Amino acid sequence: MTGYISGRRRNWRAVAAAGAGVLLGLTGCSGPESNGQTGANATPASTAGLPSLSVAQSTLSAYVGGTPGSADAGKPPVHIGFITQHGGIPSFPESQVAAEAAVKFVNDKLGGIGGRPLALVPCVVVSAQEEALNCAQKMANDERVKVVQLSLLTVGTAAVYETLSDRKAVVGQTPASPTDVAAKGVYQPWPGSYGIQGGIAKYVADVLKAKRVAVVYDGDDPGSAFGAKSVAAAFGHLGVSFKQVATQTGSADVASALVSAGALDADAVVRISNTPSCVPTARAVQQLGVKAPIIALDFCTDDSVRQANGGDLPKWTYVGQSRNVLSPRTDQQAAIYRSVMNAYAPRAKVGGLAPYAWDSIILDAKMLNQLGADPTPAAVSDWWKGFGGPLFLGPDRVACGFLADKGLPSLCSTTVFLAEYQGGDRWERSVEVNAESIGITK
Amino acid sequence: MAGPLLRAEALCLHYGGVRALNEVDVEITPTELVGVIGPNGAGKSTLLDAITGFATPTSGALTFDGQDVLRRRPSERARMGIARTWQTLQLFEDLTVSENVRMAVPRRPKAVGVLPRRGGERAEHDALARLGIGGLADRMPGELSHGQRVLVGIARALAGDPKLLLMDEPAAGLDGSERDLLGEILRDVVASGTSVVLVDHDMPLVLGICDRLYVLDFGAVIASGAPRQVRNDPAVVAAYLGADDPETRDEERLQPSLPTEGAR
Amino acid sequence: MSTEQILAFMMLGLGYGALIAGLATGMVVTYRSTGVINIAAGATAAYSAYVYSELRTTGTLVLPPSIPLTADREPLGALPALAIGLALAAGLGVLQYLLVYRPLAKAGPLAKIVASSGVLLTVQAVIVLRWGADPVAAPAVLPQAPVDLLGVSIPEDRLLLAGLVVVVTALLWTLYRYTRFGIATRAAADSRKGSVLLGLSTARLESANWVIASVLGGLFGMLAAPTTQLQPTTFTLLVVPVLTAALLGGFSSFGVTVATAFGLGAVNSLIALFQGQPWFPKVDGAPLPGVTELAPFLVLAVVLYLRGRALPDRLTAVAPPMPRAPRPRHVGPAAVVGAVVVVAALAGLSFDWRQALINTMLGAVLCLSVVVTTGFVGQISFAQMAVAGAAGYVTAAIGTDANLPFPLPPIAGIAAAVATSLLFSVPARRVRGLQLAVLTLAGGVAAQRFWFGNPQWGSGLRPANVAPITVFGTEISPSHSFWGTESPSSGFGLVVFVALLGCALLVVRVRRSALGARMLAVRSSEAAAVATGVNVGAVKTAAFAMGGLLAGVAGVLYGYNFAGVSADRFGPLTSIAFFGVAVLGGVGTVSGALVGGLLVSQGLLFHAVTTWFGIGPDYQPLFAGLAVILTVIGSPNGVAVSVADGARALRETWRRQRRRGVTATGES
Repeated sequence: MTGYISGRRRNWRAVAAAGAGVLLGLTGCSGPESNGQTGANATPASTAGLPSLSVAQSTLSAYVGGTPGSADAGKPPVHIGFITQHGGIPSFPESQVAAEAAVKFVNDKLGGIGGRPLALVPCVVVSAQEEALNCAQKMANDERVKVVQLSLLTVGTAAVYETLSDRKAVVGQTPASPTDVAAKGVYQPWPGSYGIQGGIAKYVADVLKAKRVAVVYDGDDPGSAFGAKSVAAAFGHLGVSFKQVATQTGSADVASALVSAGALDADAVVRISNTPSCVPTARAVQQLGVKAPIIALDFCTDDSVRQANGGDLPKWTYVGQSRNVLSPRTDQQAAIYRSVMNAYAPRAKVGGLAPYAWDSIILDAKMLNQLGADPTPAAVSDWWKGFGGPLFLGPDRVACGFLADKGLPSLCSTTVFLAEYQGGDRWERSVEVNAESIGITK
Repeated sequence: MAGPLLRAEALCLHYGGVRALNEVDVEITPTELVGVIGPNGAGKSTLLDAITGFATPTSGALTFDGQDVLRRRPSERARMGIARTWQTLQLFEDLTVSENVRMAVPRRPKAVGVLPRRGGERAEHDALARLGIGGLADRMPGELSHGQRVLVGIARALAGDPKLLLMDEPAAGLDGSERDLLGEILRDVVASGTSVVLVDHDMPLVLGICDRLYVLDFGAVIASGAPRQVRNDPAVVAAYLGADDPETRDEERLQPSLPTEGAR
Repeated sequence: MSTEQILAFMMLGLGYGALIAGLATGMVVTYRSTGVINIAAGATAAYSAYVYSELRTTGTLVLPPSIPLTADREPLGALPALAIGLALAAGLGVLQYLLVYRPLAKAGPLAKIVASSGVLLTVQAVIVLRWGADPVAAPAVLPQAPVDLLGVSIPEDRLLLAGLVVVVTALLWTLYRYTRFGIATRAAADSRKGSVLLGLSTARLESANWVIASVLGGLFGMLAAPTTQLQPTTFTLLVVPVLTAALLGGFSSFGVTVATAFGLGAVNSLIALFQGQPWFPKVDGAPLPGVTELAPFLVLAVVLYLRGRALPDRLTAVAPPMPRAPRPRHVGPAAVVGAVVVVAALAGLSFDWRQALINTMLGAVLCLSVVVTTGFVGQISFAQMAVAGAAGYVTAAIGTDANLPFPLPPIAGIAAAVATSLLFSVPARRVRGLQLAVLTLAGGVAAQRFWFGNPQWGSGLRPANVAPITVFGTEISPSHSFWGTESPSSGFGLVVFVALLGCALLVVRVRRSALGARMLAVRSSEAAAVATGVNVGAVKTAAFAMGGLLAGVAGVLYGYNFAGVSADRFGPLTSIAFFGVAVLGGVGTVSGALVGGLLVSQGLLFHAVTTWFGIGPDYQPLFAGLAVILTVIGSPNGVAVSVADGARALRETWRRQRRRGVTATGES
């Protein structure tokens, strides 16, 4: 009996030791994978042939209205708050990496803001509304911060806008929720999933000349579902007949939805989804032998899709809010962005939300160069309202608030870029489509 | 009062293919102590469940106090005056002894709600005092001995002033003196006007205090009558001799003289 | 829509059905042997799948410490990777059993399901910390060439998966029916004592069963992962359909479980087919959303309701204990001290601590609703989060969309919460214990998908913003300055405190009332309560109404705190995590709810840990998961009761020692 007990104790001790080891190991190894800088996340596309940094310097200093050269490190920095989301689900670590690269570049090559260095005050939301509220309160209570640059947040944005309202100038980036689109006095330079659908519809109707379209979307994702709804409205106006069917994010069974939406005899298939649905879609398309061109969001250009799809992306047409940064060969501005990223954040993810975050900082520099380092919230809001473009990585023309009468006061643009992928890292030049308003193309 | 207090006629209860009760006829008259014995699995507890409404008979008739109660819900039957105890006692472990008992004191109509009931305290006090456990009123059931817990269970059952009290193996786990006390209490309960149905394996107790017995085997009544009659019934002896191991003890207790067994 | 088409679509759902079936059979195994509903089954299966994919891409074994198995991060072959993955799954099964469920062998269903949610949170947190949220590619194991069947082409792996499920089910059935091991397992499940008499080691039997279940989950996880992309929640969220299948199989029949799983797969596919039909209900041109989530829940609810019994089963065994619910004491002094401390804190603390205090008070209100429904009446309901959500969404709609003035929006919100909670009380009259837990979890998910996250009438299209409280033209909101405090304003903090105080006093009052006694009677023994004439149904309804009221207050306050509601807040994982925290604090007492409040996300405790020890918020889910497991094992009554017990014991020792000291001096 005693033997039995002591034997059991030994087992327990061994198990406890193993448990502790597991924990220790965990804390030791979790860091690098989650900050968006690993080799696995890097795009294999070659960096050869990118323009030199001096080209980037001259082009961008003209764009932001800065003085080529480095900022004076002795001068007091100009602080920009930066609220971003990573570490939970979903997670966009590339935003902060790209924003920091842009800040370094601005300080190094564009003379900062009137010679003063730009400094990022980041605040990270992991996954909870409480964290977003905390970040907003931190910004509101930080005397140094005059401008808060948002990056894409999926939680707690209502609290952020409410808390910072009239206290700090807030600059949006790309809307992820209806709250973003409806925010007052805050402008979102990029259309997000709330502004790209009209462009897609127009492309499908005018460029592909499609008569029948199958639309498959992630029904459990509000952004995708909104997209499906507005693309339906747009098709209706364009006289394109369509069928739409919802799946669930990441569901392995996309084939049912494709068949049900009539993908087998449609002229085009529009797939509106997040990254986890891309590979199942690619498999289902292959399995069913769908012949029609596939239009998918650029979430599907993620490296995980490339890996799971046998090392190459599916040969689809990808919809982006920005110029195609994966194809520097076909776009000069994208090439300059890549060159800057290559110099200041080598091996970082260049796709995903990185271009928007990077461009946001460049735009902030442009704005602060014009408004001075300590702008009021009203001044910032007015600047955006009067800003006609261009976005460095986006369309030439934007008009913030142009959809205010449609209940979308914070949108600045509904322009999308569609790029056809031919495989083997070769891209067609992207097509810029400007739907003048969501779902309604005049 | 004329007629029986409770009458079960041809009660049948089948679980799947198992006949837990098979054409059982039982009659309980006011103020009598009736024992129900039989091997494990004979259907004794099922019979209690059927009478109290926790099991629904497949067929048969059941009248209590002259009313058909077969389709009544257990809480209604409880309010009509059928109380019971469990072998596992089922005390309310989170309530004090007095709260346990108070739960069974009939509520005056319209007293539903958050306000505590008055008047109940007296009935509750009486029920405890009657069993000699008035001193335990503010204790928690978990702090009591098994014997005391059994008494709390009985006090709770009696608090509603039932006409019929059904008891499932109350003597299990009691020592000799506790068992004697239990016997006295039960006689006293009957004397005060409540009929009692006692299901127990403790033959000396059952044979010693009951007015009448029913013997169940395989869900059917195989014998009934006064204890002396039943003890010598060949069918009963056969049923007990043929029973599996755990029940042979019953058989042993059934045959020899009572007093020595009771002192075990 | 021809019959052939319907059959073809049912075939297309085979893959999904097979995955559900694989996980569900494992769930049946663990339930049959140890009475645990393993809601972490999906998460642990995902862990195996992640390990497998890491081995196949970089040849590294992640335990989580990374052990490179190949030189130069060469990928490992499919078979060795699969074998290692299975071994790991087996290890995870044994480890879970020994560390978590064996110590809980005698515990009640509440402790077991909460422990299992702790495991879910922990494994999920490890996955997120180690692999991040980005989808991970999992190289295929099974061939994926399309096969033509009934006019549709189906990838071979789906058919193989489905075939494997059938084979495995047959094997399991044989194993548990005819082998010595299987018979022993069933004997042990019927009566632990009996198996000990038979000379069987229950520990060995039970751990073997956990290994079987875990290996099954791991196997199907690894085989099915390549059909999609792995994300931390991909498998975890399957827990709802998996539970549905296992529950409809009565947690005992492999055949019914597997058949239901395939049925769910087919239904999933058929809903896709129906969406393309002209008759399918449409909202603004888009097919009615949320049907995929709602349909299985309705089936589950109806079946359980019909199959359920208004009365509990025969009581041959003593019910396992629930967390203790002692009578509240020193309420008056505690309330006064609490008021003084909170007012001083709101006036004096810096903004971040003020917000942490507000978060804590909000969490405590929601925990109070768990105290009433689960603590007092013993109904394990995971739906409190959804009930709070109902209040938040209705408040947003009434205040912002309908533009009605204060106090109409919160009143309507709380009324909606009570109504939603009463809806859940209907099945609770006939469905009890773990079945109710599963049903409410599924119901919460359905509510979140069909209502809150719904693009048509949830927060998908319109912002669900909550207009601030305005009384006589004065705005009391977190962002409106008050007493010179900026966001979060002390004024809002006071509002939350008054609400918390009111709710706490209400719960104290209920616990001391006759109704409260009846609630605890129902919790201890439904049968005895019925037999003493208690109207159990009415007591349950009252408890759900009160739980709904409290959750409603919490939901409304959440809305005000964040100036809006979002569907994420009310998802299944948050509901599971929140329930765990509530049990951790203690569901039997008001003080337990207050402790629960301290422990909620961004509450005072976590804020302290983050500020003082620099532990990032990304580690919080991990610590929360581990804390839930440890508390359930070490302190089954919750932290609050344990602390009170400890303090009492200490006081007594001290008193005894003093007395001894007094006698000693007297003698000298």
